[in-house]
Amino acid sequence: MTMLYRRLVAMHPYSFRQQFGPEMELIFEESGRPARLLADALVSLNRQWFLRSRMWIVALAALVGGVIPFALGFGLIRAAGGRLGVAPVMHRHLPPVPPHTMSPPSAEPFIVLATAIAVLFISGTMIFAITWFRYSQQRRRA
Amino acid sequence: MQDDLSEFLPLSPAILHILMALAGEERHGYGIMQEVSRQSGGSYKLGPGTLYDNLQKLLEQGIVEESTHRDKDDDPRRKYYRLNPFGAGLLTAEIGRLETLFRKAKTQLRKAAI
Repeated sequence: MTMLYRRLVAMHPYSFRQQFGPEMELIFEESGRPARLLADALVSLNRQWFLRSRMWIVALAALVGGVIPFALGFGLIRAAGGRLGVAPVMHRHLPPVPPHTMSPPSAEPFIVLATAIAVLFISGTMIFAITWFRYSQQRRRA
Repeated sequence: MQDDLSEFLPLSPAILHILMALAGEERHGYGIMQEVSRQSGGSYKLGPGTLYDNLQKLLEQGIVEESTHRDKDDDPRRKYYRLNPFGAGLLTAEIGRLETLFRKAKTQLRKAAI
């Protein structure tokens, strides 16, 4: 139990465990309620990483960076649906175009484009979030 | 001063209990936990994670400070914390705020009873 608690304390952000880690371990040794303290350490671990260290901003940026290009790519493919040989729902009742009059272009360029936009967005938002996160940490230390 | 304090108010229950525990004397972490439990009659218990998370915030905001006090038979890992004048002012302001709130609540209840 003590080893597990020590591991949980060691997983806290560096500045927190430097300042309070040894005393947390001491309290664990002195207190007779290991299960309750383990649960408390788990809650504290989440709070320190996701709230106090503002890592949630990076996580949110990654999520937004993932959703925007997905939506863009989906929109692009949907807009070009007819030309890609995938008939949009509202055109289903129209008579089919004879195959010799129009040959659908390949979906490959659109997929490549959507992937490129996705990669650009995800990297851009991650770089921005990490830079901002580091900058705010420096300001807090100053 | 009042304007400076208003941005910290209202205090969360954990912070209020910690400040109350430190109001009488400087204490180490485990001492704060025991005092909080004693003050609340055992109904409110702080774990070390919650305690140090709040203490970190209080230290950063300059409400609580680390003391150099050590008992000779203390474990070297033990640290003592105390309320500084700003923290004492903040606790006084919060108690004043709560007193006003209770007074208003009592008046409302009396009106409701009529």
